[in-house]
Amino acid sequence: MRNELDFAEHSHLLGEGLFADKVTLALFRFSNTHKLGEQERDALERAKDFLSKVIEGGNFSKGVFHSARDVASAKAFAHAVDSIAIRVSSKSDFLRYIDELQSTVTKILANEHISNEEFAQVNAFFSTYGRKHFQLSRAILEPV
Amino acid sequence: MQRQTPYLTAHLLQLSLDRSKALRVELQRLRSQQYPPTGPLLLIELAIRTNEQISEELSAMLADPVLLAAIPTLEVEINLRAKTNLLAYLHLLMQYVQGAEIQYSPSTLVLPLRRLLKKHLRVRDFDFIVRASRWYNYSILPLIEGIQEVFSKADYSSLLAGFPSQFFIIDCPVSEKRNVPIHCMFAHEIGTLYIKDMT
Repeated sequence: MRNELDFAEHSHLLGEGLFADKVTLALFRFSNTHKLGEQERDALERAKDFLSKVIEGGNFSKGVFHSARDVASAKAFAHAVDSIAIRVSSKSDFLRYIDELQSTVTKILANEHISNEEFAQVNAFFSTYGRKHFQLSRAILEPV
Repeated sequence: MQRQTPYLTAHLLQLSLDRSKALRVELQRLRSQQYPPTGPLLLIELAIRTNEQISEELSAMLADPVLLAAIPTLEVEINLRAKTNLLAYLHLLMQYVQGAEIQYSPSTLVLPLRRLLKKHLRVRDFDFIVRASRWYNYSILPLIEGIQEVFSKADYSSLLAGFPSQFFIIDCPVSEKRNVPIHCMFAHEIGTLYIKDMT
């Protein structure tokens, strides 16, 4: 049983690290060229969906999971809380922060102007998210 | 964006390539062992294909120093991190092949088990590995969801072509592999699979 949990968890953590790195790379390319290629657009669409899940997970209060999306949202919320790059004092502050990140990603996708601070905030979140997940996946591997 | 010296970048790429070469040797050793059909070899072949792909991509980056020097440091870092982590993941996957060799596993049970599963499972595209391990535990471990998640996020989904859509590991304690109750324990383990398949 230990094996099963370890493998599934390790795969998920590694997958999240790879996902976050793609977003970071897309943001980096965008910051250099102010253009989005197909790969970058795809990565940012996924980032936007992920942030939606975090918000859904944060607002989840039914206590019963009705769909795979519910489970994924709750998981996304928990993982995002662990990766937060700023100090927040409450859940509502946290969700507001995630909402801001989502709005920035939406603006990038829509080719709208964003400030340097907005860009730095999204970049910091996904860099930390990726780094934490790679660290956690390695931590599971070490005792194997 | 700060740029690493081309020498340092090439050195890091070479380190990763060396890991890949070492893994190739281990994978060839594993492939040379005898296993009951067909799960262990399918998993080893998947690891070999993936390792070869990683090796080719690293070699291509190293082959052109001018191009390499032009790639921003962050891009190289992210690319290397993905490949290094994937190599470790392939290493992890190979733990499921160890103990599946004919001489160590309850290999005579594999063919009857395959017939039984073919008869009762609705999913036709499956494979499995039966192995004896040091854990005193009987278990069934579905691998495919984890593999698909990692491969799709690493953009290596194409390497899964031909790999079964269901793949699982059936574990038994090494000391119990010749004991009669193993039939009951395996029936219990594949029963969970059967229920999952029916729901």
